[in-house]
Amino acid sequence: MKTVAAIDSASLMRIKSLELRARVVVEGLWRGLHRSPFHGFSVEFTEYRQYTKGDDLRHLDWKVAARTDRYYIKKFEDETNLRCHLLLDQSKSMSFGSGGFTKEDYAATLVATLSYFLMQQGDAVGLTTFGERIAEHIPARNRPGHLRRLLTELERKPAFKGTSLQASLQGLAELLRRRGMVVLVSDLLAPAQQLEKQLGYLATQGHEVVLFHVMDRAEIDFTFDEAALFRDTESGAQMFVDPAAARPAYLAKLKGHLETVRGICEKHGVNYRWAPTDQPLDQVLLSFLAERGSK
Amino acid sequence: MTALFPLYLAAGAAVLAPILLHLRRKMPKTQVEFSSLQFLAPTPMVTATRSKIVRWLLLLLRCLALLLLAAMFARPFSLTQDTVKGQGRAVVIMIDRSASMQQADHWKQALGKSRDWLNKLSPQDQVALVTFDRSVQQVSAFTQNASRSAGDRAVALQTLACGWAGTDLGRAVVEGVSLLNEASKAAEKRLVVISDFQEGAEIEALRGFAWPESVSLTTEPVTVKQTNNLATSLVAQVADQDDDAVAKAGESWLRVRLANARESRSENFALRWASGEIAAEGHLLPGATRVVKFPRPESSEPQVLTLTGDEWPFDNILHIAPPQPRLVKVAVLAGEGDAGSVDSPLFYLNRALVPNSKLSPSVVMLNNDSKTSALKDAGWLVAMNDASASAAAQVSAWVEQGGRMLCVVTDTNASFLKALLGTEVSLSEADVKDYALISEIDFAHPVLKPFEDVRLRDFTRIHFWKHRTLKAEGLKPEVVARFDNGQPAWLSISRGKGRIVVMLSGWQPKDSQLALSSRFVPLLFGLMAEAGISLEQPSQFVVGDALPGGEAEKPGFVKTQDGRTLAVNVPPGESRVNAMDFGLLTALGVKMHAVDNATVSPADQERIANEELESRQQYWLIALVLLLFVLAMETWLAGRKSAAAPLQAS
Repeated sequence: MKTVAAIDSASLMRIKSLELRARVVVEGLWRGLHRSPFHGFSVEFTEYRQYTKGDDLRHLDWKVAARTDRYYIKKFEDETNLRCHLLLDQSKSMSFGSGGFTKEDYAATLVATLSYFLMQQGDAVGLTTFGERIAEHIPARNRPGHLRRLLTELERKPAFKGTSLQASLQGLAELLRRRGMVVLVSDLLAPAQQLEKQLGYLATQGHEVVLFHVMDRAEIDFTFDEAALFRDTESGAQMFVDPAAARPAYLAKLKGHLETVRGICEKHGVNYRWAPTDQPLDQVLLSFLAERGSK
Repeated sequence: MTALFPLYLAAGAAVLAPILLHLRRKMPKTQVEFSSLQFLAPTPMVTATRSKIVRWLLLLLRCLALLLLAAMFARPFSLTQDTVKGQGRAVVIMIDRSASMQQADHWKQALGKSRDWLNKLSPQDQVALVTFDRSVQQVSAFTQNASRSAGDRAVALQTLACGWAGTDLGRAVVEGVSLLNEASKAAEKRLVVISDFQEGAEIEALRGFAWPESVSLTTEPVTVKQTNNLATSLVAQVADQDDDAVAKAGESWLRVRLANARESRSENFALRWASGEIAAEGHLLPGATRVVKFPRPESSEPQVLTLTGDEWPFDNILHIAPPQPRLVKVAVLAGEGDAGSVDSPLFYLNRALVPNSKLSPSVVMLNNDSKTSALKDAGWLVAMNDASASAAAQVSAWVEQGGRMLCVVTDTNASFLKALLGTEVSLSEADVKDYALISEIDFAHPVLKPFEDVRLRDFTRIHFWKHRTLKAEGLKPEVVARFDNGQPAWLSISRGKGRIVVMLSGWQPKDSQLALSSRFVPLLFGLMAEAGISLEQPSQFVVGDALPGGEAEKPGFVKTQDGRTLAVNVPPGESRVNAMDFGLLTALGVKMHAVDNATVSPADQERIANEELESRQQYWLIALVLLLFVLAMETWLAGRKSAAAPLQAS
């Protein structure tokens, strides 16, 4: 994988249209992927590309070469029918953001980019948004107009307050009959114990589970200066906090939480992807795709 | 330092409020929305950064603002030793000595009040004593009075006497204020006016006068027991009555205005001559005014009319001067000719100069060999150009000494003019087609003063059949009027102190239509007026008016040097004896002082004095300015603090 000039998140989020944002990131991804030195990374990839020196000859499409006298790397037809289900957290806590955009914007762009990318490959993509409960469930499809439906749903912002991973994942497990990939995008600001059970349940159903853990830099480092009344966006509870005094304890607790989440993911074979909002989206996705391609 | 309303100072206790507010444990106003509090532990609350100097400054400013507010409402003032005891004041005592003060015991009361005031003042006070009527007379100035004892002041008062002039209260007050300004530094400047304050007093001088803040006026009105006053004043003396039914030839009539005071109880009046004969009588309602007409006795003596029916005698006598037309000698110098002929200019001159009630011109024909002495008492000279040249020398000398003459050129004989002007003069008959008109007239010339009004300036209806042209060497006459052919019509020639007006056309019908026009008589009288013979010669005056021999000081008759009798009466305004509305004075900006009399208790007097002291010092204004400054500072500081960077993640 070549290093490409990443688009910083703040600049990307200034693009108003979600579709355009997704397209910008996907184009960047393609550039990165086409120049990727990793052969055969794209197991679900259903695209021809010109043969370059060093490519694995197993993937060469001999039929095309015989017909056109050109060498193309062939896609794997039997691996193109991936069913990917995207699960987006739209709870109130996702509306926090310190860099001029919210976690929700970042997560929606991530989901839209993945949808766009996968739909281009011909994979079936579904979407489920949730907060305290499942808000919308769009089954996985790959047909004209489906991407538009997904993007419209992503642009809609339901007024959820809290997060109930337990209820949402449980509901989703019931909805997903066929095996596939489940991509969960959330800030995971909920008791980790709830997460363990439901992620385990999804994994045991045979789904390949990927978790994008989205967090804001202010949440990660707790970069507040002055003492103030902190208000929980979900519960509305208020607490007087002097950041200088509270930071060490906060960071310790957060670290513990992240470790717990990672531990749970590792335990249940969930692909945990760390996605702080100040990290360029294409980098996050590229590293995910590269890692996946290398498997 | 004390306060007018000290109770308001208690409001200063309100400073506790900001202090308590600053000391309370304050919840931070800023709220931060955060995604989840699950990793946060509450921090123990502390008092919001009390140690910061900005907070202390804010507290200080807020407390100061409240204290200043309380001080402002309490109206503080500085009570010095001098002001407590009434020392060091500058006081001008003004006593009204106008005619209305002649009534009853008004003058005595005024003197008594003056004495009381003088006794009330301490030796440290500066006092000036002034009397006034239509003018102001200073009895004693500040410097003179400073060392005087009470006895000296009493003596000064005894020398005063009431007069008969009108009252100009406005002027008196204005001069009193300027007198106070001359006083050296004083704790208080007070103008004390002792008067009957009758409504006839003039106060116009106060209009537009900027009353100084440091001066206050105390009115000390004398007690007016009743206002049953009828007043009389002469409106006019007319030669005869308009009403033909009662008119008699040569009879002189009087028009007299009668006025009754507003609150008068007297309604019946009678006007009597000195002989006891009743001139007029009748009924006049209170507040009403009426003009009565009656014939004056057929006598050339001055007359006195006495009004009866009221209780105020000072204005009941009306002095009436006899009709005295001014005797003027008009000398006429002409050639030989029949003055009684209608072709002679003198025929018209004699008829134009008829005597009237004001002027009695007597036309005197001079012989051609008359001497200068014959012209000595002549007021005006009219000469024809055919007069003998031998008389010209005397006439010329008379003119040079200030005499005024009119020379009418009726033919081309230039010998008299040549001798009169002392230069080569030639006269010639002008070539006139049909007639000439006067087109250019210098109405600004003194001889044409009767035609000042533009409506009287029409000379176009007067045709001049003949006129002459004059050529004189070295003579530059002033052209008063020109004919429409550009030739001079009337010339004005200055000789020494006198003046010669030359008419180059006669006024008789043979030469022109001038004598038959309505402009002729005014023109002659204009020429006479320019010669100093005035028609307006009043013989009725009021006390205080300027008379030929000096100022009129009291009602009566005055004989002038020229033998005329002038009548002097009480000014009509003095008869309006109702009390003046002091609101008028206040409306004109006069700052009235509280009345210092027995009806005001000592406590009230002290309160009023304190109020005046406070209003002079106006410390509350300083407090207000400071308050505004402190509030501005507080707003700036508070704004600066709240405008600091909002609480957010960096």
